[in-house]
Amino acid sequence: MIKIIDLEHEYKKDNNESIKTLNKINIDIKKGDFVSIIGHNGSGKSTLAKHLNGLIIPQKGEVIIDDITVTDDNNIWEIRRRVGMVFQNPDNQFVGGTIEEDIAFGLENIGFPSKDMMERIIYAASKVGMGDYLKRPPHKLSGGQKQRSAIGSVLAMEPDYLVLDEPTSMLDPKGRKEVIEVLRELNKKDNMTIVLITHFMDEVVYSDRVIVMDQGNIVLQGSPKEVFHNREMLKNINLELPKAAILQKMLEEKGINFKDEVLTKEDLVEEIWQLF
Amino acid sequence: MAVILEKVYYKYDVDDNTSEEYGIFDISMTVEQGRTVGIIGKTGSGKSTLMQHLNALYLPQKGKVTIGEFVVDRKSKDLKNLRKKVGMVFQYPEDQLFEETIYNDLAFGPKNLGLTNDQIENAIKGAMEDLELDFESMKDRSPYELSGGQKRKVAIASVLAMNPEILVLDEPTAGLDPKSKKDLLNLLISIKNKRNLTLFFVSHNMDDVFLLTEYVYVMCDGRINFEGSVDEVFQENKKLRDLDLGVPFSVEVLELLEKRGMYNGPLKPMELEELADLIKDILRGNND
Repeated sequence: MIKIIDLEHEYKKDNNESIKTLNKINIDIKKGDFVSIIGHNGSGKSTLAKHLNGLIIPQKGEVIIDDITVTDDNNIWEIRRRVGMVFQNPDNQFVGGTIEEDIAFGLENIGFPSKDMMERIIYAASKVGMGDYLKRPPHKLSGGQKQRSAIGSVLAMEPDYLVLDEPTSMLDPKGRKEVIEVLRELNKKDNMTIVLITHFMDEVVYSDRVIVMDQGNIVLQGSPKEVFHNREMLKNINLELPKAAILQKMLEEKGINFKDEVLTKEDLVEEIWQLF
Repeated sequence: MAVILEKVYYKYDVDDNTSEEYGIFDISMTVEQGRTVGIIGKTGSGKSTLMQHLNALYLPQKGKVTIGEFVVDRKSKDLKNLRKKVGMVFQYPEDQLFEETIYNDLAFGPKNLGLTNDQIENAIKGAMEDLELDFESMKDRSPYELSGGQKRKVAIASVLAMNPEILVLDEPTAGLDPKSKKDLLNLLISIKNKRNLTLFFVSHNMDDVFLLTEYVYVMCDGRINFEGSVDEVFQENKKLRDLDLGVPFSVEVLELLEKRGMYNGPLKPMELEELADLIKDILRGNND
């Protein structure tokens, strides 16, 4: 379980003015949860994510990973093994000449025994559907494949938690879909805990819980349905509903009454079918 | 300025022993002054290589590129004057901000053009106004203190400050939140009209391409696979999917309605409001 207690963070601007980017944040993330964090640019969501594996050490408050408190450099490596991070740009994360080398790099760094290494590499690559591409260099991979490999390199370390900071924002539509499918699969089949930070409202509908941030505060959380029910509030903090929900709202304004609020186009067409 | 590409060919030297080829091959297109065209294609399809021919960052190995009065081929030299006319906004352009103040960042380009201080200030004012950035309150601030959306606007303003006649935008809204995204797209549309620019828009977001452009080129493996007006291109839902591309949201909804036997018209891209009217008519027509 990841426990965040009264976490605060501020930074100083050039003119010495302090800006609070996180304000008394409290979150519990249980093993096996699929949690999405949304918020506009500058809402504090990336700062929050960087606290989860010690890239930022809490100034105030606590971040506890199972039984370890993120405090200083003493336990940072163990925390980073437990909490794997994947970032936006797949090109910045690729260090090896091939997928195999890329996954091996992380394992070598933790002194993983070389006799078991190949087995672990194949295991990790297969988890993200890249088992057949081990010898491929990065320039021969699509954006989606690169990002899946980055997830594979993290999985090879057998983390307990996977944190992804806008992993799809630089990908083409197919790449986006591939990455989201891999995450759903890892969550369902392996019970991997997923923390997904994203701007794409259509991606968060698959999570168990959505956390909405604004100006360093958690302003809303709940299931996707609960969260997107607060249409006015989301609008006030410059967030949009998923497209299917926007369309449904327009139809309601045109006098069509639906039974349920929807978040996906499939569900919307189902509702329309009921009225047809 | 009009842009004409004739059989433009550029192949990368790749030092591995596979037979795959990278680059662009025999690309021809004619884009009239003031038009807005979209370039779509999956990662690695040659979009960026193509874009870099528009301001002669790359010279074609075969064929030629004509931009206004400039002709670029494999032997072209002295391309400085051409590059002034073509503004390039690459992905995540804010990574290229480097000065201590916004004013200095925006002045960098115009200074290199040899403008006087007054001309520079006017160019900066005009560019900031177009992007709805307040000159007085922002000029002395550090670009690093700005929010993501604001930084993006400053980076685009630094390109506009050069007064280009052609603007090339590569994923200009990537990584922005939905509201900033929408605002920036609307701004780009009005800037394009106000400055009468010829605009090239590269994006993976089919809804954005539909909103912003009139004509679309679809690239695959370094070639133009097909092209047409936005309406024509986005009706080719099967072809687009075969090329690993998406279709606009409206087309996806129409497909689902068709599957359920509620719709059998063209799978035409449209804005949400129009789609809502169409669905309303479907429901009403059935109940009448």
